[in-house]
Amino acid sequence: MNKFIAIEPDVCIGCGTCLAACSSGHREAGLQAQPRLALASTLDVTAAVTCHHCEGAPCMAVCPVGAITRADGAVLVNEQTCVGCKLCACVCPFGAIHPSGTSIAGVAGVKFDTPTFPRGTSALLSWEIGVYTRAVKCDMCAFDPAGPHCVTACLTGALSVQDAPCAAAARKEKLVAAAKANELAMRGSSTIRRPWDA
Amino acid sequence: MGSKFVIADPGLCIGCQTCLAGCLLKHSVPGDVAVPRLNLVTTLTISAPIVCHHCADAPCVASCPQNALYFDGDRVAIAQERCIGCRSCVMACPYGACDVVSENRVTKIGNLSVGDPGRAMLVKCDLCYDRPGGPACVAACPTGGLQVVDEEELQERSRKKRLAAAAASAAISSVQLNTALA
Amino acid sequence: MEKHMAVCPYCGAGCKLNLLVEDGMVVGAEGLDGITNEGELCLKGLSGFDFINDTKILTPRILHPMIRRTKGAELERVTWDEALDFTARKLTEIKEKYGADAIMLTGSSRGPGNEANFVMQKFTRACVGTNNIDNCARTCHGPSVIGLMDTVGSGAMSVSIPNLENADLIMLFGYNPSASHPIVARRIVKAKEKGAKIIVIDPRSIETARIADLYIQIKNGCNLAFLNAFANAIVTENLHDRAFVEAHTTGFDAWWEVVKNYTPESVADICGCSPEDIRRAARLYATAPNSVIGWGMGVTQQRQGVKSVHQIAAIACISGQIGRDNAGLAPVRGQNNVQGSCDMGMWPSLFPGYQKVTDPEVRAKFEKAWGLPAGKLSAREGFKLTDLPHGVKEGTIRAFYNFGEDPLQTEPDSADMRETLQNLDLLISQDIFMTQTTALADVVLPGTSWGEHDGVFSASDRTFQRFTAAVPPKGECKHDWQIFSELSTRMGYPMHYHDTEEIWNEVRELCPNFYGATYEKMAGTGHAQWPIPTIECPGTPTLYRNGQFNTPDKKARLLAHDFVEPTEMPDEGYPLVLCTVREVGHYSCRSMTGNCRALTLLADEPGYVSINPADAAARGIRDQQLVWVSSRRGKVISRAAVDERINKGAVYMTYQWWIGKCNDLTMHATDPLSGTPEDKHSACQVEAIADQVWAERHAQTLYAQMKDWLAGEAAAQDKEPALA
Repeated sequence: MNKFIAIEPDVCIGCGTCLAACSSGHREAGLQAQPRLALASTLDVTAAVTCHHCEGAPCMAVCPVGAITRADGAVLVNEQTCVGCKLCACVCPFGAIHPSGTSIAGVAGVKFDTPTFPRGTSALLSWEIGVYTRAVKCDMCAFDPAGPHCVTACLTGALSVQDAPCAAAARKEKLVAAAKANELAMRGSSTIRRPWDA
Repeated sequence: MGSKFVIADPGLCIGCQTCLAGCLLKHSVPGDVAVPRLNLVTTLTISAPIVCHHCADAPCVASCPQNALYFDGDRVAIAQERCIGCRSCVMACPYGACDVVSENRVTKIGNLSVGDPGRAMLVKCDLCYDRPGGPACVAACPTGGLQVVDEEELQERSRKKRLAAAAASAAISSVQLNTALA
Repeated sequence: MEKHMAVCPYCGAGCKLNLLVEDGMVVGAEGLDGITNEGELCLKGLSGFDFINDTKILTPRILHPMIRRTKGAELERVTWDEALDFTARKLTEIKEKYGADAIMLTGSSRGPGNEANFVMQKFTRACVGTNNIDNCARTCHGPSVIGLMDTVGSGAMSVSIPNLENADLIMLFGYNPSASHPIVARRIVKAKEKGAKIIVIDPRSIETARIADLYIQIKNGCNLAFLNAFANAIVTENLHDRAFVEAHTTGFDAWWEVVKNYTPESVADICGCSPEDIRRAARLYATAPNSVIGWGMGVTQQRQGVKSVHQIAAIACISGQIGRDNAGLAPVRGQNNVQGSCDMGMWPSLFPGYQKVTDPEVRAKFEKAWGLPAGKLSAREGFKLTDLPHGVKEGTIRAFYNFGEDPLQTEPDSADMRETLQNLDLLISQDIFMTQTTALADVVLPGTSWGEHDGVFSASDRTFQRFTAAVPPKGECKHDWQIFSELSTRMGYPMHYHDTEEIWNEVRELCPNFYGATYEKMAGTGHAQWPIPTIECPGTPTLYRNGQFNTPDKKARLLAHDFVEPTEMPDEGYPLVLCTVREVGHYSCRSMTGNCRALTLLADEPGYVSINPADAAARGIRDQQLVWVSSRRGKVISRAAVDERINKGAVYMTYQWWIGKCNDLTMHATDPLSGTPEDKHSACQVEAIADQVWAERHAQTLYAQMKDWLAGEAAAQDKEPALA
């Protein structure tokens, strides 16, 4: 099973620390600094939206240059192979791919951004002069043996890594609880009388 | 309302796994995935297979971004070709009754093996909608411990309980009741 | 890799962390197990360190002293001696010509720390000879300090932040912890996990509303009406603790005379909520075993800030929800050391330790300790920071010594503030960055940054914690307390300290409530929560135990007032309420976070104006489009964030942005009782911009011009001073 990062929205306070940790961690590893998860907030919910590293990932299926592969239980984009066609971003049902490239704007007023598109334009549609945009997505911090930076950074513990043992354990818990509930549901109408049914 | 589901009587369950075998056999056909949709749980005090409740307001249907799960009459149905294996339904189901498995098929062009990105398959009870005689697990269970609960069955159970409760309420009647009628 | 223990320089939660240093550069931060943060950090603590390294993303560090020899001249780099001589001479001239009270100073509530502030107020009082010292609490929780001192005797949180997670009920009124203090929000989430009930009362559906048991959406500017009705509901439903009121409060009858008129039904229109919700909230609050009220700028930055705080204190007192570990008052102080600024007496009417300047015995004590002749210390309460514009116009304030603040960014009506600063005879700015305020200064003094010096911060809940230097000072930056000492010596009052511990010990000797807070006690992840009057005392998380208040008669005073609507209401020309708030990824004037890479990547100019979908649609505005926001004071460009959590009829901007500057639009109207501006309520209009690409380029051009201007002013420091 592929590993992925899951969010518990009730505990999310929308602070963006996960975004900052993701950005810094990748920048330090020489990868794109665009955060690979996104905060979504509505009237009812705040949650970080993460890549699900789908078993039958549509992004991987649709990539024309084979830049998206599966390795070590994660679905990864090779940022060098990617040509920036954005098909993967179009097809991802979670919007978990964030096309981005390194800007050519300098610092301290020496050069500045010359936008050709309003910043509100979706990253799937905009194009900036001189910026090589490529698919940027969660790589489970494959470059770091310590694992995903966002999970460690989250201060309310809303993010967690779901891998096969984790998912199996969570499922087991639910199954046992369901069995107990089943027992209660059938008590009294079971054809077997047990000591405590009297 | 109006959905059906299979439920186990823990009193009758002997943990023999025959229901799992029956389910697996029924799903061992081309295009399907040969994995049982029931999940046998055994603890110190209970044995019971847990299976999809075909909820009227199913969280799995709500969580699927691809509409691979949808309502079809009395059950929550699966459109297998739409599943991308994101496992949102696995996380959403409060019973743990939904699962996703992936097949890694290898395509060969002559002798050249060309890997497949992976095909995800949803594993969830479909109420054996296409099986004459209904759910295979119910038929297979040697102790008769599995039954299909539908609207009628639920009404019947409630009716029985209400009758029993009404009879018991005789104890609190403020006026002496005529017991000669019983 | 080296690790140096510090306390985060951003919000008042007081998170302990290690700064990670490699090859003389700060390369990272990791959480330490401090009493409040328990190893966690928010994105600012985690990624808000690289500004120390002078990244120049937004504006450069100031590394050398600079002066303008004459008013309006270019900045010129000089030696420290020349800079301090120049400053001393200029200040002395002004003092001789106009009197000491013509000089205004402000302490810094951020990186410098308590010791630096202490030395500054000592310089102000013992050397300059005035009480004109204030700090940014004036714009912030000043009303809480004043309102609580009027009622319960002490202006700070009565409970500690860690204990919040054990409350049975937490009520947030005009406070958004998820943006202002994520580590406090974490405690509220934990409380909810432990079964606490949460009530949120706010015009916006803030983060915490999502886990609230009761969320009441109120109209902007109705605070005192709501609070009066809340109190009314408690009494009319007999939920107040009569025994407590009898034994521990005074003034109930006069208080009730006002409150009795504010039935929930009578305020439904003003508050825009149902009377039944007010009653429900009051019931939940009063009947829970332990309730805490948390409030913030939603209460204080309003016309009746102080009066609202009076009522909040009254509500807690009449309900008996005060004086226990998990029940009490939580005015959560904003900045990392604004509590400290107040603790250290950066206040026109208070010495360090909350001792009154009008008290002759207190003055005598300080005169003795500071080696001053009897009667030297001024008994006159000084000017407030918000008196500055008025004072300059009238000619009563001639000089302003700005320390680690950026009033041109953070005070309302920036056009007016700019005029004020330019019309001073002398503007001194002691800071770490070339900010907009510093760029106007006649004297620029480079202080050491957080990360380059030691000291003590006071967190929001009265917790003293130590922080240490991680890297050596850059360029010619000098420790702030050193600068004040050398200046004071030149002006006839010699001061000399070896280190911050020496200063801290002087503070301890003069402030009975801080005496037990030794450097040893605060070593590592230690802390000292005042009142801590003796060495043996472990600190005091909870105030007012057993109904013992800090008032002369030990009782709480109940004070109630009638509601008055805000000064500037929306009208045809400006139909939307403008409310200024905080965002989580940048802090205050943004000179620090704006120079941090990760934080700048997440949010950059021109910032956002959050607007309700209906209001946006009515104006043809789509999400993420650039728009004009205008008021009677000015017009700025900002980016629309169309957000269903925002109430109709109001828009919200954060005060972090230099181009999308909301303070170009706010007005300088203050609560007369505190001098705190009405940042939360003024009138504005928002308009769509047709050519969005033009708008993007325009915003970028303005941004580049701002950065060029500041870099240009700072460039003076690259030219070595001519030899004398």
